[in-house]
Amino acid sequence: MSTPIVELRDLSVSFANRGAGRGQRGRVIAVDGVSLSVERGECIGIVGESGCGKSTLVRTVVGLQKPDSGEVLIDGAPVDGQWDRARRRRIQLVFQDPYSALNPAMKVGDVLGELLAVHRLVPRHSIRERSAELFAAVGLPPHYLDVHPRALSGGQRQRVSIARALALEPEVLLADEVVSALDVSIQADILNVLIRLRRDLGLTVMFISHDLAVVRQLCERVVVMHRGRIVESGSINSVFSDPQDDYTRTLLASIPRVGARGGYT
Amino acid sequence: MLQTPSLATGRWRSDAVPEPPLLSVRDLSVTLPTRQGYMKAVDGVSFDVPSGSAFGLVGESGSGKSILLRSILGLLPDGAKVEGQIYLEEQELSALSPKRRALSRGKGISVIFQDPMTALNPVRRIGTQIAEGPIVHSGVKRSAAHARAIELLTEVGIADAAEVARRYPHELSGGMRQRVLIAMALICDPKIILCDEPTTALDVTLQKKVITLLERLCLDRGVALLFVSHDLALVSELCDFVTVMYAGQLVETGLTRQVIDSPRHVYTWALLRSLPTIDGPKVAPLSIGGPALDRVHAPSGCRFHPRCPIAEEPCTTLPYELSEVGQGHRSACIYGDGTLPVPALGDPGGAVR
Repeated sequence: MSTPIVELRDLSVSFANRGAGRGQRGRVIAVDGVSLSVERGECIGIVGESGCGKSTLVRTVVGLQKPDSGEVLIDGAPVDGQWDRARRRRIQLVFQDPYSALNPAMKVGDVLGELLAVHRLVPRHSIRERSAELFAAVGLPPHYLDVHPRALSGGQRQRVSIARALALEPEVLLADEVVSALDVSIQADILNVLIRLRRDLGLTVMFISHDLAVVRQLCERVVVMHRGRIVESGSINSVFSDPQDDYTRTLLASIPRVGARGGYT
Repeated sequence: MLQTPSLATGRWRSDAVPEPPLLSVRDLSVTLPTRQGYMKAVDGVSFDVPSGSAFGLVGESGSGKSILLRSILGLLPDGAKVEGQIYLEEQELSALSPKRRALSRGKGISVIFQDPMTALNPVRRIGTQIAEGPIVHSGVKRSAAHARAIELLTEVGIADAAEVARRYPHELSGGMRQRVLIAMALICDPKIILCDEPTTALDVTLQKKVITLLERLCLDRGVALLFVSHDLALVSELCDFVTVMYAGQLVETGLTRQVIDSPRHVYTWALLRSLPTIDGPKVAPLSIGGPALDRVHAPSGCRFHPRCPIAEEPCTTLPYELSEVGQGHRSACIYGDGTLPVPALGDPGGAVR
């Protein structure tokens, strides 16, 4: 078997609880001994409720958060806090809230241009051309390069965020609840963009969500997290048809279904 | 058009004996000033909510559904112009003075807003905030109102209610705050609660709990719900009636079963197809493409026609009209009379969750 592109070995992360509730000081364990390997080109879904540790896991994978113990391996090599520019390029993150993820004072074309220039990915004179290409990849027309984020809808901003992540030609795209803030009809749009990008670019996608229905659209494999631990993992079909863990069953039962309310004439 | 619950099932039937509606909205239009000019956020909307029913209003961001809800409450921003009538039982709410309108809120008509993080006053204790309603509206003594608040907190599933009542909003989780808002909406025994996407800020497991709670507390004690959401699946689980709104107009309305099983507007069909599937084969969700909604310069004819995959020439010119396509089922689509060429588009039922 080839080396997994991302591997987590017994990863644990905790935070000091500075006492929001009464008499609950101590440490909160956000991620509790998680091991996971992600194969190249795969799309893996990481599912769980708010506070289950999935966002902390994401932050640890990209080096925004130091683990207490355990390690993160990228392409077989341990990271050990050594995030140089070249390594950061390999994993890119798309955030949940398209309204706060973009600098409101910058034209969205400049957001991409800055990245391309800093990382010296294309010669200065072809920055605009490359930006337009990236926009085309996420289904945005080139004239949107010259607008500010406020002129764009939530779905369009999320496309810009994805284009920004793609600018660095990453191998892994980490999508942290990228559709949760969007209308259902716009959700479908963004999901289709991700499906297409995977097919065309062979990206590895780690897709974090609380909604199993959305994960099913995109991923072949799913990991269910609950209270910092992985409680179930397997192919999306087996998890849907034969969930093993009680918590997975709760998650499945919580998805709203069209016409579940019966008894009308 | 009017329905009552059938005694046998407690559910709503299209052939039941009519009775006067609880909430009635007639030709309501709301115009808002924007930087680009005046925008008709709500355009000639009429509907009835029967007492004790759950009435769902579905639309995407910018369709005017939240403005519609706020205009029923009389909580529109300054400069908004409202035409048309709103009746709660016999009383015309839209004719009341702002002061009397304010008194009508909380008692006859109550609301649960979307964001439980901002809907509560951060510097007042939970119990005090819940108890405020009966003190203001019914002159109930502070101690009695407080006792009632704690009782309701228990009812919405908060263990240790007396302790929680002494806390401040920041000490509670999102799910708990949403329960507090439900308790607050219920305390004056309203006849109807307006819900503006009450679960959008919550994850699916909490959403399920909150919806179940709303259903149990409101529908069991005969409180009607006007439930606004972008999620047709969610609305179809909770509501007896579904109304779909697009660009300020109602495009389809009917019993939930009618709208879900045989949508008579292409937009409703597209909304159903955009939902991710969880049963049956995996089907790529439909993107409703086309240009985004321009609310200042609304397109002529059917406002959905620039995004409609099967729009025809008459769609660009024919005036808007919501016409009867079945008993209590109305649609504004030219294909609404049963000839919706769905096979050409794909099947909205079956494969879709």
